[in-house]
Amino acid sequence: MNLVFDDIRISGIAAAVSDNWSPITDFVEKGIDESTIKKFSAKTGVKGRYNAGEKQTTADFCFAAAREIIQKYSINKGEIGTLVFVTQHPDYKSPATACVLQYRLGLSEECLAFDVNLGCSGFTCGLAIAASLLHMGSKKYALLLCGDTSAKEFFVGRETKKTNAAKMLFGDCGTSALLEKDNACEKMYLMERTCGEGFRAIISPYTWFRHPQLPSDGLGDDRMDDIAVFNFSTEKATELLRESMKATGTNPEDYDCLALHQANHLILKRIAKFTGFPEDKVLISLDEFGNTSSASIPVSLVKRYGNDDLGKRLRVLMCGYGVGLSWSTVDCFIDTDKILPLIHTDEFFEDGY
Amino acid sequence: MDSNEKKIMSEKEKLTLLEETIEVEEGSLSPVQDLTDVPEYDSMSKLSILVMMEDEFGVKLSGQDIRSFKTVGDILDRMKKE
Repeated sequence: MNLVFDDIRISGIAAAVSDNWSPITDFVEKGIDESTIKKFSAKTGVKGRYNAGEKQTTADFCFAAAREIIQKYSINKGEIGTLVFVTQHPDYKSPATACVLQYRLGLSEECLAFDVNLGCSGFTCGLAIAASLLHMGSKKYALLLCGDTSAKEFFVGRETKKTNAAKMLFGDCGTSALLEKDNACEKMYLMERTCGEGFRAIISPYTWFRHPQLPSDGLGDDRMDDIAVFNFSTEKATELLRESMKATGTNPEDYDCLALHQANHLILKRIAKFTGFPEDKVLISLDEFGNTSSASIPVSLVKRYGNDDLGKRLRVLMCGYGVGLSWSTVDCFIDTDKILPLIHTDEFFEDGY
Repeated sequence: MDSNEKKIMSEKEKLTLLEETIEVEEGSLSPVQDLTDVPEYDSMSKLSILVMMEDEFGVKLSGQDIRSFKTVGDILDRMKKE
């Protein structure tokens, strides 16, 4: 599906992480040898990551990011009519964490709030969902909260990650984007794609309803076919970015930056090469944050522009791709003064349970 | 000979390219070597081989192709324009 809006803009982006940043070399203490770490770091571009506190969840980071946007721009909370929370790490089986976030943020009851289970394509897919509801609805704003705590290695006391790559690649982060309805907007173009046939390529099939028992094959909870994912990412993201530029009659020179999901540096370099983007236009957050799943595109914008006072209107081409398999592009304008500096928080929600 | 056709590499040249790709010392691999005896042949090296095969030979490997490699020679055999 393709979408075009001429009444929606992104008027706030924020990202939150913990204070606990650790270099990738710390994995020596966890039994991974130094040369493996060096090679992994050189190929993927990951130098370290922020680790969520033991009691911190994705929702805590997204809450901090959304609260900052609301305060900074004095947003009328009664005008926020949609809250979409995209994560693979919700707080509860039920209710949707989005409902809890609607309460924590003090939003009005006149608000539709729900969770979406998507990963690396979550920000660009989430923009399509939030923008559609905002376009059709009666309110002025929608909040899109995206993030994951994929770096956490333990779940109910069990070590969930078995490969070195799974242990070292990910980082914890939560983000917020505020969408605003305004009749004087530049166009926003979105393209959404899904290939469910490839669902096995990235999957956590166990300890849930289809397969409640984790088998004793020693492979852990998360399964990934590295080669299939690499081929999918480089082919499909390239193809859709080209299709987007063809539809809008643009080329790489028309954009200030290419904001790709931060899968790994090898994939980013391939996509840039195949789409004709110079590498200096490709945003990078992998080095400091690791692969942060659906938070990776907004946190890349925060890393590059969050502390700038350029006062510039950027044209950004984005592409998220991953688990699903799902991938999508967004072509839009964002003002640099709507991208906030990185937030650090050690807060977590005391829910009483 | 088609002018676009790449120069055919000797087995020695292929071996050197493979050694560079998976970052092992030159001369350390031999065609009969079992890949399970090459500790550097890990998931990152497999991705590097994927990129090298596409860039150098225009060959796109699938996960099934990679899983079918048992020896260094199996990789060398695919290092040609198809």
